[in-house]
Amino acid sequence: MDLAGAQLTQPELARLAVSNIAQATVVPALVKDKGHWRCQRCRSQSPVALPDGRYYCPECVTLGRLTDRDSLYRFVQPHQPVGDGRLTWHGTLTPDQQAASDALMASVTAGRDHLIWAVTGAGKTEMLFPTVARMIQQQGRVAIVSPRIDVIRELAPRFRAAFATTPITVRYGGHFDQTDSDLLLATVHQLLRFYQAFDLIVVDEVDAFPMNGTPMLHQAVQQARRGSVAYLTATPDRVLKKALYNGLGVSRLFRRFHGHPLPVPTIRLMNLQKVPRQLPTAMITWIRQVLATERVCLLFVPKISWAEQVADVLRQLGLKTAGVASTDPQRAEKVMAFRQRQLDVLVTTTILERGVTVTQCAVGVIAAADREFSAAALIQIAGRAGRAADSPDDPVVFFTDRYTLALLVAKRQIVMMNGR
Amino acid sequence: MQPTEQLCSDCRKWERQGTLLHNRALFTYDASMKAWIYQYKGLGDYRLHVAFQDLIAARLRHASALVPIPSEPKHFELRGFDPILGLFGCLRLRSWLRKTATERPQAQKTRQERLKTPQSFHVLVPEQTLNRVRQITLLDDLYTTGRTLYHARDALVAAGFKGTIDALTLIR
Repeated sequence: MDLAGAQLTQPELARLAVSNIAQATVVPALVKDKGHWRCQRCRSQSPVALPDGRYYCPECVTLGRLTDRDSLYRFVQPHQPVGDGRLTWHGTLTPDQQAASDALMASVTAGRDHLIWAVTGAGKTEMLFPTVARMIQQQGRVAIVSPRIDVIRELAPRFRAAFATTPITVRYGGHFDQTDSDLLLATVHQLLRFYQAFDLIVVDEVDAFPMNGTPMLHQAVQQARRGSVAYLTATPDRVLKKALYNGLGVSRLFRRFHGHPLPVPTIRLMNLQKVPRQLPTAMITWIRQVLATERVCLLFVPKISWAEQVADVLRQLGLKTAGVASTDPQRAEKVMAFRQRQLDVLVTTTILERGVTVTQCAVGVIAAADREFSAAALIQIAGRAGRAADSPDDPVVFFTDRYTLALLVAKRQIVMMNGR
Repeated sequence: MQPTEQLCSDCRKWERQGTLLHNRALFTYDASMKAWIYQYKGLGDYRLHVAFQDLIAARLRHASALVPIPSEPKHFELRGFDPILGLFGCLRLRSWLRKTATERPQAQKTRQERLKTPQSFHVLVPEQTLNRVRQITLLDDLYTTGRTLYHARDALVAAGFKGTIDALTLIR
């Protein structure tokens, strides 16, 4: 078994029945650094004491607990390429996409990190293909990661089609398994099981939950890298924007692949006191109007419990609908049914704010003034509309009972990006 | 939760086999409690031991003698903490019981296997100490079949305790 680049724990090795650990570099899982414990897997400095005197790292505990008496096994031997990295995607990039793709290639060649700041629906994935192909052809190893499972689920078939002759590993949740392919698609957490393994790491939707506010996940990227890191987002946060002054390469793409501007959201003020038990008539009228134009409708709600409740209300009106949230085990199936147009309306929490592409889809946000909807979230949500060339002007409506800064900033930024 | 005077089918089965041990639980074993106990006991995330402290303290403030169900020495070694002591550690506990090693943890057995588990509790204190209190409340994290708690109760009775015994678990 090829374990090159892996960073594993004792139980993980036992599970894989690895007998030959002679090639592994063994390091203590927790080390004391200037009087503070530091976890060698996730680099966080917050270990917690146990009653028996040991310490453990709570940050990466979901991947199996590490205490100061445990060890990490790092397999530093070089990776043996298995695929040829031939690009089996034969589409063409728009001039804007091509320029962004070239800039990424230049950054990676120069060993620089790179930010692709592209509006939702700019065709970010396609822009990656040439650089990823080049890296694999040069015997390099590439990881495409995202904090969102849904993003990885969406990307996997597209990469499998674009690199038909290259074995691809897709991994989210669950255990470590053999990962000797040249291309890994995974959630960011999975990078904790690698050490200096990848010549290129692409982090898609880098500002999304849970990566925003979890420094440990940024550390996971840092310790799994061997070469450049490319960050992809439509809404870079302050840290990324600041890094632009410190040598981070950047491609800006403010036009969608089909050349049409982003749909500008309409803010509609109305009384929302009875939501979610009851929906305002104006909202229901809007949904009916949208459905009459052959479009489906994606409705965002701020609370997990609302997803089902709002779906129930709509169901009573005779609409085919479902509610999804992060806690829903059937989430993937429901999204699939929506995509195949077996559902008229999909009610969702912010879990679907990114990475989901449904053509001819109107977007509504219920209680858009809720704190759950940051400006970045609202921009991402508005970006679900107008994805197809034949329906670039899908309506986007923020239903709210008051104005918030986030609402105004989101709208202003969309108008700004359209104007560039 | 509204307490009712009716017995569940599980308790009725135990009643037919002898005297009933009255058990109250703070939560039902639903998906979120399952996730919580997995993170706490399964992964060993000791931080979670304070999660229900307020609730537990309020509930047991007036109880007489609180006897925690001990964990096996082997499990303690592995986890680095005792899950029951962690949960109820904010209260004055009397560690009157000890558990000898069993071949497999309860969590890995089927219901029938669990019910057949032999007695493995020993009382560590003499009869006089036990009988200084009139009531004992046994404490555990999870009530599944009741086997563990009934064994603990039987051990205390066999050691000569004459008062009443009931039980409180976090989850059932």
